[in-house]
Amino acid sequence: MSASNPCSEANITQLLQTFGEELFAPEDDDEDYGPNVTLSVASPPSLELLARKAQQEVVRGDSVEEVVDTSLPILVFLSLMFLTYIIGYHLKRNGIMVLHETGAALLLGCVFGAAMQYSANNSFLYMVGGMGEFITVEKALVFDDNFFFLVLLPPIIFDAGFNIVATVLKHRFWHNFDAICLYAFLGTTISMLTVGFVVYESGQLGYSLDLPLLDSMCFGALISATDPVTTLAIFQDLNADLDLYSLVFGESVMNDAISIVLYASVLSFKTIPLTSSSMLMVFGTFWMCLLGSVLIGVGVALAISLLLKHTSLNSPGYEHHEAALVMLSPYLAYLLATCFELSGMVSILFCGVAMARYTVVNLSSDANELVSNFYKLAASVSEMFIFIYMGVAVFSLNLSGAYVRFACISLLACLVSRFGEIYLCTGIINSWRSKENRINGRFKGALAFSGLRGAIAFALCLSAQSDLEGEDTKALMTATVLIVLFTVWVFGGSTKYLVDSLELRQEQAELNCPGSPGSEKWQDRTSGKLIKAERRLSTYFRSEEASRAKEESRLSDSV
Amino acid sequence: MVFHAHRHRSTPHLEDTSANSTEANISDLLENLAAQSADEDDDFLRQLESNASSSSDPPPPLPPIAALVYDVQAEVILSDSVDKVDDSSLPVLVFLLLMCLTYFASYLLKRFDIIVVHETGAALLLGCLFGAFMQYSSDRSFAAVVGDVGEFITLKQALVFHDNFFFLVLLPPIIFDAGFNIVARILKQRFFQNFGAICVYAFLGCFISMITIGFIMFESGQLGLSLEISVLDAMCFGALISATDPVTTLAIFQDVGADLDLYSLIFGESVMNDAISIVLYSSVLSFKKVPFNATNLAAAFASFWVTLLGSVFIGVSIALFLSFIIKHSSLNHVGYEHQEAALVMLAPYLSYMLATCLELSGIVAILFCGVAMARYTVVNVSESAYELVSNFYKLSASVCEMFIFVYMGVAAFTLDLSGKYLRFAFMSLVACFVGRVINVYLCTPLINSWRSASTQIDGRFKKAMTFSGLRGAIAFALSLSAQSDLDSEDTKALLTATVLTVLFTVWVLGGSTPWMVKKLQLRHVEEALGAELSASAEHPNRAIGGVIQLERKLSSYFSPDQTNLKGIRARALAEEPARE
Repeated sequence: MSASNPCSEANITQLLQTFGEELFAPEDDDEDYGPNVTLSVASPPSLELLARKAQQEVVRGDSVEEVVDTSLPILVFLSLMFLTYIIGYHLKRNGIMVLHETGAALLLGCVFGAAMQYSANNSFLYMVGGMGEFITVEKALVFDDNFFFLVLLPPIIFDAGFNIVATVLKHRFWHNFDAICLYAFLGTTISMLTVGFVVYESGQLGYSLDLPLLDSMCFGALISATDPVTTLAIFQDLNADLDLYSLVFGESVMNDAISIVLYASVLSFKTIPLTSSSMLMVFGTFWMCLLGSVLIGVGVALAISLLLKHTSLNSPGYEHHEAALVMLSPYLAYLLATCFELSGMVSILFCGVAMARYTVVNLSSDANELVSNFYKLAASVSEMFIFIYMGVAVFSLNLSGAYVRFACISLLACLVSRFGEIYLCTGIINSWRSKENRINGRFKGALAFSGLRGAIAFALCLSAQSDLEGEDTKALMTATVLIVLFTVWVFGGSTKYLVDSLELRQEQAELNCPGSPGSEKWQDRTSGKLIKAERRLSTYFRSEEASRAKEESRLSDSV
Repeated sequence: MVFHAHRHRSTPHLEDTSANSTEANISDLLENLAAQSADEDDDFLRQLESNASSSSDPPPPLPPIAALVYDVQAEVILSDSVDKVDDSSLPVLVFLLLMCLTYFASYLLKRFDIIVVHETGAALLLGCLFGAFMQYSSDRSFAAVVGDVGEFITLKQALVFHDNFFFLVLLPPIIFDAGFNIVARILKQRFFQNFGAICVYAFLGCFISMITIGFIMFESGQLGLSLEISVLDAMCFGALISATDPVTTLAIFQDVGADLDLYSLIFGESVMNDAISIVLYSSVLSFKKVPFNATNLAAAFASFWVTLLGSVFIGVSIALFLSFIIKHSSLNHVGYEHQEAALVMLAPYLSYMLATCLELSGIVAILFCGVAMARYTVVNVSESAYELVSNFYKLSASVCEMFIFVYMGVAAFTLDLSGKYLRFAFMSLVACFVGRVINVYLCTPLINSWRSASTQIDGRFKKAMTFSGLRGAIAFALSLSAQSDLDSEDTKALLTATVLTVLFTVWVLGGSTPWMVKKLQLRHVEEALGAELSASAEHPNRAIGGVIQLERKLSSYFSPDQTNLKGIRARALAEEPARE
């Protein structure tokens, strides 16, 4: 094969095209491919031949040359990431809060995508690329959703559970757990239904694309996943109130998990009709999937804790093995859940949370450093990559009028549903919380404001491209990317203003005693019991010395 | 992936196999299909024509080919759905489990002081066991009992990773870690003191080894002792098998506290070896297209040096560039650890990809990037960012190494182990040994000729160095890429020989390393640590002294200004001259 890059998918299609033209040259007389029986019966052998040729090229093509080919896009992405981090540093240093790192990543990606698009159109490329051929946007986008789900997302989600919950938020997270769960479960469902309904109805009324109900609901589910990255980075920079922080963070992390499971549940209606019994079944699988994933995640975390507790892996000299085992176990949870057709994301998230609680106390501090540093860095880099990728993807989108109108309507739907969801859920939560723990108006505003969309929505949308049939899946992609851009730039950019105007900064006095006894008050009797049971469980998984050390540190804290 | 696309409309024959969309399976499938479709294709075209003549429908405006091709391409592009994740996640899960098991097994081994089998040996062993089990289960339909997951994976399905994955994902962290963490933390000056010897072993030694092995393999083929392979293949094999692997020996050396000079010699040699043999391999491969004559030889020689020096240049300059950025910004202040660490983490990959894109050697670039970063960047980086990056690479290197060894173990049972291939493998093992002996015993006198009497490399060291020629990840990765680079049937023999050489050297040589260390009395002498600094000043002769001074000047340029000191490392750096 003369083409220098045999294995990229774009090339296979090219190859197929040429083969297809050769093979089907004599037959001009067939009808449209889909309904035509003659061709669909007749074509397989030819197609097989064609595919065979293509496949041989694919199989043989993995030579050193291929490394060169895939390494150019990677190099470009790496350079963009490098640049973004430098820009992020300068933004932070000069106190520019309007554009955050993720916003900068999107922007840079967009600029690069535009340059590529421009250069591909105007044969500008030979000036830029001294390496023979310069990459086009399509070629740069060689990463598929498999790459997202297997490589990029796991560290991000695990890091959220393992590092942020454990080190930044601690009790605050658990104190607000009721609110977080309600926002996540009820809120996401409301959001999905609202967005799905609005999108569907607007299509019916002729305002935008006429989508089937299934597609609109899938879109509603995937776009309901809010992204914690940007808001939280700013919150952290500004020392925002910790309760708010844990509400927003917890909500968006749990949100991701729920919306992934919701998406899969809605998708199951693709094959079965919508009846009450199938509804019930799907509802059942939703809970099965959710609880099963949580069980696997927590189970793996507890297994590793027990292993560490009952061996001397955590004594000096074995840090290496210890750290490697602890590092691998979240992936184990992830893949185990995926193999059982549950949600890997949910399971890795809960694995992270459970590991932060039960495994870390059994770990030697060296191994803890190793693992937590590894995931922190991996998560940061993966996040950056996804945002740059989204930025680049903008210019490969179909930005025709109908699609942009669809995107606008879905953006509106997102905003409406976000406000509705927050105000409804907050009312419910406040009904059982004691007076001093109520979620007040300022918090409500901040919560509604921080519904940024990001990595998970994009990854789900990528997989929707193949899960849903029809031309309109491209519209979902356009809408998702534009919503991400809008929310990250507009909402993310104005977060500082929001924090300032709503006076959401943490009070200094509060900073000094994060586990203040006042926070224990609101727990009603049932959750108090639950917490006690959990404490008993946690002491079981904790090695004795560790728990003693922890007690001592707690005592010294209170002194 | 393409066959995935045909699920809907293909014949039942395809239907049952298309579920496994791995390349290995597809290639199997293709072989079956090859005979049929060649004649069937014509038949179908004829049939189509007859259909066309009988059909009275007017031709539609939309050209069907376009629609068809669109459909195929849509399927090709879009077939990576959630289902696909399931398909590829099972092998990954299996490998993960094997790795976890290996780590745990090696912990037990270490705990109970069993040094005969080391971590890498255990990984190979577990991989082999799993491979054998898979082979057995797929033969006897034992699979259904074990696999509740619907379908159990076959061996071929487990081996979905190809050399691209090795070169882009697995090797960079290993090589970078070797440069960044081991040279900087464990060996320090020792490495640079022995740098001359290391270079001789790496350059001359690797070259000698390649020529010897290539010659033996070629001649044994000519004499009918093993497979008859072409000179090119033999030399490529010589180059790829000359890459020695530091992992096992060094882990054991570290555990038993071996002599630091020996440590740095072996480590430095095997790391540089990898770099050189990769470049040598591609230089030899260039003779695939051009005939072997004097001008081409000169060209290959020149390209060897251009590749090597170019890669080193890229690696070092990326490291210096990064040091420059960090020095002249306040990235290393409190609050920017996140950006700082990410930049430091990305820089080695940048050098790797840059070198690869310029058709140089990424591995060489990332190695020297690591060494240069350890020297010039680390002093500028804040403590917490340094911890982040060094921990990241330490852990990923360890995991990647483990993965490669487990993979090699599993791969052992997919090999063609027919008689002649085994004979070839045996010959190559002998050749490796001969090459190693010639390499060490030729290079050492050369090095000793310019070294002072006190720093001579003595007989014990020579024996230890001969003994530690283990083969590992790089040789395996190169022989994987040789599968596609060389186009003869015999490339399978190269893979067989490589894997068996790795297995033998890791198990036998690696297993007996502790015994060797004890026997040759190579343990690290405590007093030597104190004398290290004073003795180190003696050894460089004038020319090297000049180079070292130049390097110090460079390094002081890239180190933080005295007024701008922050972080523990910078302070330690300030103290260092005082100690001297």
